[in-house]
Formats: sequence, C-alpha cells, structure tokens
Amino acid sequence: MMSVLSRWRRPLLMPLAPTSGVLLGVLALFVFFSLATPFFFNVNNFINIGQQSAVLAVAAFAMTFIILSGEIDLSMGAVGAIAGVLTAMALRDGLHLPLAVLIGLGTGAMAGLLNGFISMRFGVPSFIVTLGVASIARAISRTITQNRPVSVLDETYLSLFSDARLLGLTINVWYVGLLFVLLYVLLMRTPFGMAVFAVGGNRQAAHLSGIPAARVKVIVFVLAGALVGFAGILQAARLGSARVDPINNLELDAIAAVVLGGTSFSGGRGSLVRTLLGILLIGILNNGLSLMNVDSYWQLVIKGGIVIGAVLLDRWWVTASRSRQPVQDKEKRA
Amino acid sequence: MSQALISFEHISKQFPGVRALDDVSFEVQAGQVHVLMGENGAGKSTLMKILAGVYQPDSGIIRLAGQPISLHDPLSAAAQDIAMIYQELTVLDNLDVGRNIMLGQEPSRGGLVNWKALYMQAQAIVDELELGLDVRTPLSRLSLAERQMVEIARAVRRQPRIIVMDEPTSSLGKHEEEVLFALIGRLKARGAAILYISHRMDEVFRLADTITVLRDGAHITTEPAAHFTRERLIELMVGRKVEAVERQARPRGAVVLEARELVSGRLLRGVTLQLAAGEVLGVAGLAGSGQTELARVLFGVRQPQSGSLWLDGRQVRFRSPQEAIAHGVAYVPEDRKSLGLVLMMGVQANMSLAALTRYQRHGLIDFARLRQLVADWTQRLNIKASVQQESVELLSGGNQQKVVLAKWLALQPRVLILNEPTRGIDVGAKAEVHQLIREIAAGGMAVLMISSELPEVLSVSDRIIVMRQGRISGELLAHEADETRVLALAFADLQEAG
Ligand SMILES: Nc1ncnc2c1ncn2[C@@H]1O[C@H](COP(=O)(O)OP(=O)(O)OP(=O)(O)O)[C@@H](O)[C@H]1O
Ligand SMILES: [Mg+2]
Repeated sequence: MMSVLSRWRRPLLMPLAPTSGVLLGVLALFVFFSLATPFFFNVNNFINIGQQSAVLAVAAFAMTFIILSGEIDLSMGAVGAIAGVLTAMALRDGLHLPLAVLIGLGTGAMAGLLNGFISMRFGVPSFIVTLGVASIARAISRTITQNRPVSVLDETYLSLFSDARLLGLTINVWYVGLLFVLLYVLLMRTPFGMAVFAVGGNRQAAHLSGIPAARVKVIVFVLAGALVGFAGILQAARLGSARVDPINNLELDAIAAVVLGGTSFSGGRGSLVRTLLGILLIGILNNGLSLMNVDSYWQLVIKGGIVIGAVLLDRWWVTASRSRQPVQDKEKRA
Repeated sequence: MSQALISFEHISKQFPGVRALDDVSFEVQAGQVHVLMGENGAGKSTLMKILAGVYQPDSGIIRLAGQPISLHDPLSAAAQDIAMIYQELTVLDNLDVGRNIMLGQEPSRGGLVNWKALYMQAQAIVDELELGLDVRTPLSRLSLAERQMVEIARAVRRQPRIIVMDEPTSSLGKHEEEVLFALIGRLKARGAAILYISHRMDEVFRLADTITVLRDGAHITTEPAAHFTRERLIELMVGRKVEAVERQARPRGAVVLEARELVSGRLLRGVTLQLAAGEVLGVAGLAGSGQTELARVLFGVRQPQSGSLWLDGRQVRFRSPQEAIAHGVAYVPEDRKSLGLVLMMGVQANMSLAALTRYQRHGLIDFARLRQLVADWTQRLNIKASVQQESVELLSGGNQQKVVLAKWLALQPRVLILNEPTRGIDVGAKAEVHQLIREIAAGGMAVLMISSELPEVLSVSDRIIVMRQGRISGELLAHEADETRVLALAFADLQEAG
C-alpha cells in the first residue's frame, strides 16, 4: 500500500536531520568557546545567551514567515526601534502598561501592513518597500524623541519583559518558547500556514487554487510586524531604555538565522524548527565573541565568515549523506 | 545492420524509494526515429536524462558508435552532440525568444555578445521552424505551445547528432505538430538519431522506425515499428488489455452554467454556451482559438469586458478563482508546472491546496482525513509516488498531472473545467481518466473539457463545440461528430465577423 507524505506531517525533530551541518557548526563553536574563554562554559552564561538572543529569535521567527512566503523585510531593525520608543514614551506619559504594550505591537503591525499593502497593491518588490519604510520609521523616531533615548522606569514593565525569572530562565526566553510553539502550530497545522508555503512556492498555482495570494502575504507582513514590535518591547526592557536608532543588525541577523536553517531564499521551502538552530548559532557566536573581547568590527567580519562557512558545511553534509536532491540537480558521485 | 549509434548496456538507476531503471539494454540506429513507450513512471525520462548527462546511472554504460562514453553533466553530453527537449520546459521566462534560443552559445565579438548576430541567427531558426515569432518577444508573453517550440528551436540549433524529444507534442497544436514532424524528417535525412517519447499512438505509428517498450523500469522489447499493432503495444506497456470508453447517450440534466456573449480582448469575441449537469461538453479548435481564455473567464481568473455568466439561472460574477471555487466551479489548467502545482510541496499538500479550509477542525488541519483523501485518490488514479518523494517535482510527468486532476476531483465541484486533462498521461491511464470523467458526469457533474487531442474530444464528449478565432464556429452532437467535421469547423472561415 502506498503512503504519501508531505512536509506537514513529519515529527517535530525530523527536519533537524538535514541541518546537521549547522548543528555541527553549533557544536564546534560551543567547544571552541568553552576552551577559548573561561567565562563561556557555565550555566549563568547559557542563561545569558538565551536572554541576549531573545530579540533576535522573535525577529527570526517573523523573518521565517516572510521568506517562506517569498518576500523579504529589511525594516525590522527600524520598526523594532520605533515600537520600543513609542512604548517607552507611552509609559513615560503615564499610559497604562497594557495600553503601552498594545501601542508597541500595533506600531509593528501597522508598519507591516504598510509594507505588505504597498508592495502587493502596487506590485513594488518588498525589498524596496521595506527599505523605504525603514527609512521613514527611523526619521519618525528621531523626530519624536529629538534623537535622545527614552528611558524606561516602570518596574512592572521591566520585570514583565526582561528581569523576571522562571525556573532560572529569564522571562524573555519563555516568551520565545511560547511564541515558537504558537507559530509552529500556525505554520504547520493550519490552512493559513499551508497557504504561506503555497504562495511562496508558486504564487500563480496558489491563486488558481483559490488561495488569495496577495491577502496571505499582507497578513504575513502584519504578523511579522507585530512580532517585530514585540521584539522592540523586549529590547527596550532589556536595555532599560528605548534607543532611537534601528536595533543593531536585526534584520540581517534574522535573515542569516533563517538561511542557516536551510529555508530557501526563493520561498516555499523551509522550517521554523531549523530557524531555531540558526538562532542558536548566531546567539552563541555573538556571546562568545563578546566574552573574548573581540573588537566589534572584527566580530562582524568573523560572523560573516562563519555564516557563509556554516551554509557551505551544510551543503556539503547534505550532499555527502545520501541526498534528497532538488530538481534538475545533477547527481553527485560520492 | 551497421554499428549502432547508441548502445545502452545494463543501465540501472535507483532513486530513494523507486527503482526507476532496472538493467536496461538496447540499441539505437542513426537516421531513425526511435520511440520509447511505457506507462507513466516507467523510466523513459530518467533514461533520457542519463543520456543527456543530467543523471548518472548506478550501473551500466552507454556507448556512442561503439565507444564507451562518460556523461557526467549536461555539458559533456552537449559536447557529444546530444541535445534534449525536456518534458518539463526549461526555457527561461525572463529572456526573449532570441536569447533563449541562443542561450549558452551567444556569438561574441571581442568578448562582448554580438547582439546583432545573435538575433539574426535566432531569426533564421525561427523562420526555419515557421514559428512566426519576433525574436525579441519575451517568453513570458508566449503561449505554452509557443514556448514548447522555442524549446525545440533551442535544441536543434546546434545540429545535434542525437536528439531526444520527451513528449514534445503534448502541448502543441495541429500546425506546430506538422512543423515538428517535418523537422524530424529533415533531421533524420541528415543521419541524426531521434529518440522520441510520446503517449499519443497516432504519432508514434506515424513517426517510429523502431519502438522500445519499458515497463516498471525494465526493458520489455525493441523491435521495428512494423511489428506492432496498437493493441499489442498497449498490452506490452500495461501488461494487460485496456478497454475503450463505453458511452451511452444520456438525457441532459438542467442547465448549470451559462455564458452569454462573453468578450475578453481579442481572444474571446463573444461566446455563448450552456453547460448542463451530467454532460461532458468538449471544446475543440486549433491552439490559440480562445479555449483557454474562455476557461479563464469562466473560472474568474480573467474578467470579461462584456457578456454575462449565469449559474443555476442566476447571474454571477467571479472576481477571483476563490469566488468561482466557492460557487462549485473547478479548473484544471493546461500547464501543470507553472499553474497546476507547487513543485516543492508534497503530494498531500498539492492535492489539498484547493480544499484547505474544508479539511480543518477547530482551525487546525485534520491530517487524518486529509491522509485518507490522498490515499483514496492516489489509489483511484494509480499515482506512483513513494514516501521518500517529498516534493511533486520528483514525480514523473504523468503522475504530476494525475496529482493536479486529483486536487480538483477531490473537491467534488458542480462544474469542472478541464484544460488538456490528460496531457502526459499514458494510454492505459488515459482510458481510465476518460472513464472517470464519464462517471463523474454521470454522477451529475457538469464537465467542460478543452482538448487539442481530437480522439479524446470525440470519445469522451456528449456534445462538442468548436472554437475558431475567439468564437464558436459550430456545435456537434457526439453521434454526428467525426474528425473531418470538427476540423472543417476549426478551419472554417467565419463570415459573419464584426
Ligand atoms: N529525481 C528523482 N527523484 C526521485 N524519484 C524520481 C526522480 N526522477 C524520477 N523519479 C521516479 O522514477 C520513476 C521513473 O520516472 P520517469 O520520469 O523516468 O518516468 P516516465 O517514464 O518519464 O513517466 P511519464 O510518462 O509520466 O513522463 C518514477 O517513479 C519517478 O517518480
Ligand atoms: Mg517522463
């Protein structure tokens, strides 16, 4: 009897298998930093890594949806920043906490709506639209803050989004975990998730199957925007103040994490579980390099090199182990 | 007999979960059309891709004129003067006709592309093939048939010694077909070997000098074409006898779908038709006579400029395929690769794409029911797919087509529009699909079937309309229709043109 599988019905961990290259990279970095610096290998530092990677993780989840649907979002750093700034200003001006948080999330969602709507309605590539929105967001946050960071004093806020701990882990790591589960279910278990894959894989075929392709993409942008707003809220809480400038490298790190996870840049193919691995790799890298006091410019160089290296390693691994080959791929003679 | 031009010797090829070729050996002579026959998934394309250097065999060798050769990639095959026309088109949509034809062989001067020479050479080939295309037209503006001809032009450009044609006519109209057959004649006269794959019996018997039959990856026989009758060939391919469709005239049900004076651009210039429950209405005509545009308008892909659409006697407007589907209309498009499938997704996902919202419980997809549905249709259409084939792009062409059919049949629509429903499907399976279409019509579905294969239209339809230049040039009932009559209508000059 024949049984037919699809990518939606695989055990949670199975997608990890083909990412062994990146897994290998994670392990290698882990061993390396453990030997290279005495500060790396201890529980407190692991908790740190989690805490430091939370903002990136949320953005990388958002980016996974965006890239799967065949789009790109280069506005995440700027949108995250303005969401943080508006939340902080709301708190400063005495708004209730839930309202302030809603403002942050809403700002992100609005930016996402703008990204999605303009690029779908007028057929402008999201690459361009999101660059433009990034620039606008940046200008607005400079203007409203007169270019000065907005400090956050609200104790509840700080504890709720950064300092509180549960079973030793900081609360933002728990948010990441919770979001992961929710988003995983959304992507892999709902018609909407299936539509995201389909729209990114072949927009025309999806359209002819009755999937409102443009609407799906706009929703993805809004969802991603809200997530990025949340990342901005976490970031402001962690730093105790909302910075005016775009969150450092946010979209580029997020893209790196997604691509390290093996998600295809042309859309339609990829996995959230594997993005998690990419986040881990970048998180460990950021943490280890800072612990070793590597100059921040060199950090960027090394990071770039390792990201490329890990992707190559992954390719090699996939090819070397008995492969599932993509179409028109000529086969290797191992 | 002189030495063979190509010898396949003990070729085997295993894909994860599929034994595609199993110890295949036979020879191909120069100056001949050598046809490969076999069911969907028999291994024809795989063998030809090995010859074209796309795949490496697990074991076995290929000799060219007695010399063992190694074809480790498509370039090394091209160096041996082997050209291939792939089943799934490989032309590039973002380039124009000329650049597609000359791709990889652009004439240059001083290191720069010599555009003038490029377009002149491309034009020469276009003229030879009577394509009537401007070499500067972007591919994205061409019809499937025209793209197929560009693919052919690209393959024959280098005057290859061996040329593989994998179902080249599956998307061609009558005229293009004749052009292709003439081209094959010239290639043959030049001493080239043509390896030809097709599921269309008529052209197989017309063209073939030699026929090789494959079944489940194994070589069954290679003999001169004269040794075969149609029945014997089918039996060898399928391993059993295939029944022809039986059809009784049935009373027509109530009219479900009605189109009045539909106009869309120059492609559709006023079409009025009625489609009743329980009937199969065949649409014949030369390629590009407006059939596809009609389907697209009926399915809400395209908005008509004027005219109206009626469903159950009530006027409707479909602003998108989504709305059409919601009203129970389904459409199997003509090009599975670009319109029918999301290639990187699996069989289950593709089959359920149009029914996403039907298979959910509490907002989540009900995978148990979905799997059941997929298992049912996989069995019903005899789709060959293995667990390891995670994406439909790894299925054989005919099996891909069956997945598209299953996707729409599973919806159980009230109106089913089929555009070339059996493109790439083998004879045995084709008879089954025809039977299936008859059955679902008998079950009360209204079926509109567009096909460029006259025998298909004639054997499956209850009623046939013939299109010509965006209009209906005539209507025939099944019992009064035959090839001559349909063709007469397809070519007839419309006098009452406006
Ligand atoms: N790259 C691949 N990976 C896995 N399986 C493959 C791959 N290519 C082909 N197959 C499988 O090998 C078998 C033979 O496929 P092939 O494409 O050669 O069939 P075919 O005879 O050309 O059929 P059709 O008439 O439908 O085109 C099929 O079962 C197909 O699913
Ligand atoms: Mg084939």
